Amino acid sequence: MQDILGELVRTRGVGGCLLLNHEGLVIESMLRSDVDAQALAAAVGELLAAIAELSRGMHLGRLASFSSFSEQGGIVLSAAGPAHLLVLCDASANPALLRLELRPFIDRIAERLSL
Amino acid sequence: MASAIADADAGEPRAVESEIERLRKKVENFPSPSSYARLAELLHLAKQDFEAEAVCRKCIKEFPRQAQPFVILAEIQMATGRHDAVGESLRAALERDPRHYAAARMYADWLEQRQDLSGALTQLKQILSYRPDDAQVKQRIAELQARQRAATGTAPPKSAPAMAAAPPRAAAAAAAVSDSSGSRAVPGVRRSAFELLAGESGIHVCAVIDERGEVLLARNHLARAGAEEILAAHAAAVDRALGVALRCLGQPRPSSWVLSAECGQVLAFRRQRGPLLAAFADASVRPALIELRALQALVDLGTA
Repeated sequence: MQDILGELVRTRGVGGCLLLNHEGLVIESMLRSDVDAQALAAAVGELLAAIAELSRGMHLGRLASFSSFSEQGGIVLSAAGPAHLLVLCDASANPALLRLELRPFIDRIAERLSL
Repeated sequence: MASAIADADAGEPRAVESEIERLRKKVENFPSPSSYARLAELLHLAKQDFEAEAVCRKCIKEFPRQAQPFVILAEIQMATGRHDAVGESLRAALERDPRHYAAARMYADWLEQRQDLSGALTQLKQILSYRPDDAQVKQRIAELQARQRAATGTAPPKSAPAMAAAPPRAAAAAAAVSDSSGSRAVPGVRRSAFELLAGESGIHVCAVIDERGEVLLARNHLARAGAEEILAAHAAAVDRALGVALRCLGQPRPSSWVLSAECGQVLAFRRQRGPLLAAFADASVRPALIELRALQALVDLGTA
C-alpha cells in the first residue's frame, strides 16, 4: 500500500494522501510532516458521516467522490473499496486531470484492500 | 452587477479577468459552445457587454443550432436597454431549443412586460408540457390569469387558487431574490440569477442557506415536499465538517465543493463569508457550467 500511495504523491498537483476507514481511522498515510494524520482522519471521519447523511437525505446513492478546491489547493475524497482515499492537492493541481489520474490508484487500492 | 463585485471584493474581479483570459485562449484553440457561453457570461458579468455580445455572435456563427448564446445575448440586450431585440433573441433561442427553460421563462416575462398576457400565458403553459410539476410556473400562470380577469372584469372561478387574488407581482416579488444592488435594468423582466440557476436543466433543488442550515431562499422542482430543508440542513453540516477538516491542513473555508454520487450530485458555492448556495442536480450536470450562475446569484443576493 505504501508503494501505491508513494506513487500517488509523485503525481503532479498531489501534496499528500490519507487512506482511512468510514469511522475516520487511519489505514495508511503519506502526508507532510506538519500535518497530524490522526487529527485529519478524525475530522475527515466527521465529514464522511455528514456526507453519508446528505446522501441518505437526498437519495444520492453510493458516494463516488467529494471535492473542494480553492486558490490554495483543495481535497478530493473518493471511495476506494471499503475505505476512503483523501488526496490533498496543491495550488498547481488541475482538478479535472487529477480526477482522471486518481482512477487507477483508487482501483489498485480497492483491489489491494479486498485481498 | 459587476460594480457590486468590484466594490465588495477586490480579489474577485481579478479571478474573473484571469478566467476570461483562459477562456479567450480556449475558444481560439478549442472552440466549443460551452466555452463561448461561459466567456460571454463572464464578460457580461464584468460589464464588458460589447465584447460579450461579439462572443455570442461568433458562437452563433460557428454553432448556429445552439440556443444558449441567444439567451445570453438576450440578457445583454436587456441590460443595455434594447428591449425589442430581447424578444427576437429569445424567439431564436426557443426555435432552436423549444424546451430551453430559462429562455421560455424570460420570454414569458418579456411578453408580460409588453402587456401581452395571452402570449405570456401560452408560453408558460408550454413549459408545463415538459415540466408539469413546476410550482413557480403554475404560480405565474395563476397570477397572469388573475390579471386577465381583472382587466376584463370577469369574476374568478370558484376553483381559483387563493394566490390568484393577490396583486399581480406580489407573490413573485415575495419569492424573488432581493436585489440589494438594485441593478435590474427592467424590474419584472430581468430574471434573477438565482431563478436562472434554479431553472437550469438538471437542477432539482436549489437553496440559499445560512450558517445554521436554515433556508433563506429555495426552489424545489421535486415532487418531494421539504427536500430543500433536507438539502439545507445536511449541506450546512457537510460545510461545517469540511471547514474543520481544512483547518487541520491550514486551509481556509472553501468557496465551493461538489459531492458526486451514483444518483446525482450536490454542489455548494459561497462568496467570502456569505451564505451557502447549494444545489441538488443530476449527475450529468457539469459543475463548472453552473458555477457562474451560482456566483451571479450570490452577487445578486448581495452576499459578501
